[in-house]
Amino acid sequence: MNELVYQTLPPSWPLLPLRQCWAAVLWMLVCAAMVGAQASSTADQAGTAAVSGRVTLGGKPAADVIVALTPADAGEGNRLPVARAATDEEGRYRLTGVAAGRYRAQTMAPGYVSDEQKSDWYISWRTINVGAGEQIENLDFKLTPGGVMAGKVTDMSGRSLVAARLQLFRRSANGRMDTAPMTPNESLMYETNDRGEYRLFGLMEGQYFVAVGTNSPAFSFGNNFPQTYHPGTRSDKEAKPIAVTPGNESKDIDIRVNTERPKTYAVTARVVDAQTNQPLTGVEVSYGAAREAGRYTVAGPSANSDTRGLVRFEGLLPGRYGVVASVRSPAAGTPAYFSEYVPFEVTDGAVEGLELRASPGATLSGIIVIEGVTDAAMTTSLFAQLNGGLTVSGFSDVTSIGYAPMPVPINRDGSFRVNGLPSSTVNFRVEAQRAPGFLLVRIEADGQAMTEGLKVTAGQPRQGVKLVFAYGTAVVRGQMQLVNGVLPAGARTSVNARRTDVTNRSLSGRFADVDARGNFVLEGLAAGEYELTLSSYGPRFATPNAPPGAPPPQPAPPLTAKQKITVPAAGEVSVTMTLDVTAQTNPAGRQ
Amino acid sequence: MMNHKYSQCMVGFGLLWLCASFALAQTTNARRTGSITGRIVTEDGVPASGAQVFYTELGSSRPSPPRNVPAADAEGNFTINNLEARSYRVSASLPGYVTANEDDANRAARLGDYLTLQLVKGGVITGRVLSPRGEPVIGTTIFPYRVRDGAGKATISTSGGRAALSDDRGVYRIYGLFAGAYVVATGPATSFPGSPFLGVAPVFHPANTRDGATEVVVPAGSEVSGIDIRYRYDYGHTVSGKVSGAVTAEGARGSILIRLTPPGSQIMLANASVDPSRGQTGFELTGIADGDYEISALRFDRERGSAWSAPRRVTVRQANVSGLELGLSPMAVITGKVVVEPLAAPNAETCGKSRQAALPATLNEILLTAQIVTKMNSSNSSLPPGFVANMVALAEDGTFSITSLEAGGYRLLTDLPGETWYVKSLALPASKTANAGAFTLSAGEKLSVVVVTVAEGAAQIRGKWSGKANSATGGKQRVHLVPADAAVASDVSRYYEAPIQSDGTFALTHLAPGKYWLIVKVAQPLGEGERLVRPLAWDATARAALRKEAEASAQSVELGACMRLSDYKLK
Repeated sequence: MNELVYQTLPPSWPLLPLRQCWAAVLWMLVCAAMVGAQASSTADQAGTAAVSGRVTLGGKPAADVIVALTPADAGEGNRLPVARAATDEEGRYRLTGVAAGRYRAQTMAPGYVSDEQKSDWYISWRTINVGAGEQIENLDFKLTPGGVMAGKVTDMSGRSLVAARLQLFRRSANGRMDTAPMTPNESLMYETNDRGEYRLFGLMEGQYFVAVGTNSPAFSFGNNFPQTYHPGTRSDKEAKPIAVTPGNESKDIDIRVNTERPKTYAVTARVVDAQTNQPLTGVEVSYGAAREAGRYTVAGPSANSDTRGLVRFEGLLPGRYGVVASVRSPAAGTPAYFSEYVPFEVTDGAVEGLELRASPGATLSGIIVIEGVTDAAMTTSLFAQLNGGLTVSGFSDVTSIGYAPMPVPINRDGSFRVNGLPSSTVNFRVEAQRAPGFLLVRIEADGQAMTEGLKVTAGQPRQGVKLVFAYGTAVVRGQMQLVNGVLPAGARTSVNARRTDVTNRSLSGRFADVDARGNFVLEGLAAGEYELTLSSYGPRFATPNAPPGAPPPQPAPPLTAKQKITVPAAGEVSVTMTLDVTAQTNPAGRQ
Repeated sequence: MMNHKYSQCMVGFGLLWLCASFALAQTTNARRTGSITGRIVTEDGVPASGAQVFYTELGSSRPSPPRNVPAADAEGNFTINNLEARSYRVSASLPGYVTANEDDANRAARLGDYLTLQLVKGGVITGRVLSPRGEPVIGTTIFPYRVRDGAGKATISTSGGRAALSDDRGVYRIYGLFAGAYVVATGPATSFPGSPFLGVAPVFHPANTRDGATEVVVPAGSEVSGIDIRYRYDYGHTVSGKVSGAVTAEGARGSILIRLTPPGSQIMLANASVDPSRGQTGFELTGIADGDYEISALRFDRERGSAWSAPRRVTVRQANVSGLELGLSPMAVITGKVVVEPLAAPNAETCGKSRQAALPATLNEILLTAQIVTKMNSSNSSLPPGFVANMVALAEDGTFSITSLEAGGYRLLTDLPGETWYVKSLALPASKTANAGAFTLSAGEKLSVVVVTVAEGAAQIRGKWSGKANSATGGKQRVHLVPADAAVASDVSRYYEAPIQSDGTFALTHLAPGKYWLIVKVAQPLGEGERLVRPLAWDATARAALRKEAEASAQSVELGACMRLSDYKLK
């Protein structure tokens, strides 16, 4: 259960240290995906709008499919439907009593694949901006039966392996196996039963690799044999891809596992205070396998240091690892502690004498400035609005391991101070629902405007940081127009508004999804000149019928369109953005 | 979000908690640190190679999740090293198997112990989940809820089996079940948001709410098929309200768990957690079908003491229920200490052991349990399963604090390590001295100071019973040791009893010196919701009858200090 997902994400998306379970991992990833989405401030509570359409399965009406609207801007945990209905025999649905706002419209049909499906089992949606009282019709969904992969997992003597955990990897369009397994929504599906059988269903068409077992020490309990791919190899190079097509069952995808337990070794580490060299007690230490040079995953087993500052882990396979110590949620009155990441290698014996030198977390302090606002009362009021909505998060430059956002408390005079940060490149975010209208446009440190992210080091205070925010209430309403074709099913399209004078590459601007009708709404913009960038990402996975060994197709670059607009101090401005679908292969279109 | 994460994690933890029973085959004296060893076998005595072993410290005020050690080797042997002198629960897990003796789940293992853990093949329930049109319902989670144990007795204990998912044909398969009777239901949904089943009222086999559910009897190790569920999307109603009263505690963190169950049941049909320290007091439970329920709230803080709102009735009839106020009040607490009786004559009664070396370890290894005898709250749905806060280990100075107790009649049980110790006396505060060591705690009462005196020089009797178990009654025999001295006839701590194993062997340990009568009796069935055999001597009438019967049995034994009878022939 303890695995940090290490996935290729756009650099502005945080990687979070997750050691709970897959559900949480996926939840957090989807959360991360939501960062940057803007709140819809309009909502008529009564709700008189309606959304209707038709759901088809392989071209025929699909009955009894649940269609739901969930709030697009809510946290993933609050994503309960505001409206839902089952389709009738004609496949028609109608959602009524909908308040104005931004929603995700989605079919909830496990076992089936929606034309909107991006990557995973029944998590698919269309963004839809609903106006007050609007009657939206013909929001249709096309379903196809998901593919099925079934087989048996046995040991070398043919004995069934019960409750063995499966991992499913996509074969990317470039022909390689994805580095991270698919994150299961329903972890129960990814497990063999008491007869050693498994059945994975609701799969998108494509090519897959399937494996059982794990090399991660986090899984040193349960069926802890080394990761083995179908048909029975520990090498991902020898893993056999499995083609999955809609509505078909790929049978007998068996895996034969050599369950012989390899020899494992123990590792002992000691946590000391970097300043005093005294042992630190009760500090959480966790270790993980190194995935690639200079990149680590803290996968899991964690233990607290004892009174001598010692922790000991057993059961490590030979390989490269890293270990780190941290106190993230210290008791009142005691500091957070973080060590640097210490790499080590297990070859043929116990590893002793690792020392984790921990320092109290970094302190980051400075002042907030609201650009263009001179009135003192107004400034104080804006500080109060921003307080509670501003967070800082980040990820380690060494490990790419991130940490969850921490609130940045802001004083009446605009000064702020955050304690207990690990060594990292920090990211400031404004939670748009709590503090709408704020956009970070400049970071100054050491008297200079920064062109990239701000680094902090545990044990070292970082003072005098100036965060310059723009505040505004202007709204941009946009419409996307397609020329020379249509977007592929499953394309995901969003717009980013970036003020043209912002040079810091770590500052992201304002994002909005382009909805099912090609609409987008960017809210809370300050006056100024902006560049809008519309990007549409297509699917990125191999098709089932791509012949093995064929030169892999390159992942398609996003289709993009750019446009400059001038935003007034308040009110609305409309814009139409034209996306040329034939520009698909134009490398200049890449961001 | 917490709910989903929690539930998903619990599914995983279900695996960890597949516990195996154990029999203490041999004990040696405690050391400061050491190991626990043992062997895991399946029903035929075959070594359970590859079975996982977990251990967790018993009675800790800060319980940690079970830790695992390297799996059992080809002979089924395992070793847990580097243990401090404490009491542990050791359990074994092999997917598809369940523990042979469920009632040993809280038996303590200590340094130097050798355990034999037996696992037996679990049962299976399979079936399909179908829509009203007869189409498969895909991707819904089906949970087994055990309502009766293998002997047909109502139970609140764990099912052993895990939830299962219906596949693209609607087929589900739950395995690793204890013998017993089950109700099987689709929920409450723990699915990821985006699941169509969230907030849908659980549907029980064959097509009903809990009231109309059909029990599925699973004989030991058997497969029961055709347990279909006719699914429907009933979004039910909501039950909402707020918590009030003792919702926060000094220094307490964490949230209040609100549970909705059928009356008198442990089946959690819906739950929510609120965190008052973050300003939350309101709760809303969704997907509640029409029916009668019990709702309770619990803020569990083992260290500082818990607070709860005892179960109360809620009826849902075609409408939402709102405005409930669950007032939390602190739970009762017992504090006290264990003292070691000074030696009258040095070395006289130490059974040849060095007392100074053994003493600190002894205190760390003692467990005390506040065993509820009579519940004031009539419902069994009161506390979540696995709520075992009533067992504590001692602090370094011998003091203890048992928090989180509901109102009721109690007795204090002492679980001693090693061989040389016995409970000499139990001193209750003056207000609680009546009734032979039984006492009553009112809601929120703080009872202090209870003093348990332990002394050295315990005797023990090991032996074999020559009688034959009466299989017709299905009961198990227990040997009882009854004090012959009339002066202690009402002292419950002088009555001992132990189970007779299937091979006829038994072991009575930690016995106070003195003269006793022995008698074998069929074990009383477990009380409603009870997991431990209630000693016969706890009840005054039964105690008097037992003493009379024992006296007539004409089997007596005079136990001197440190006496070890190792081959006693019991009639």
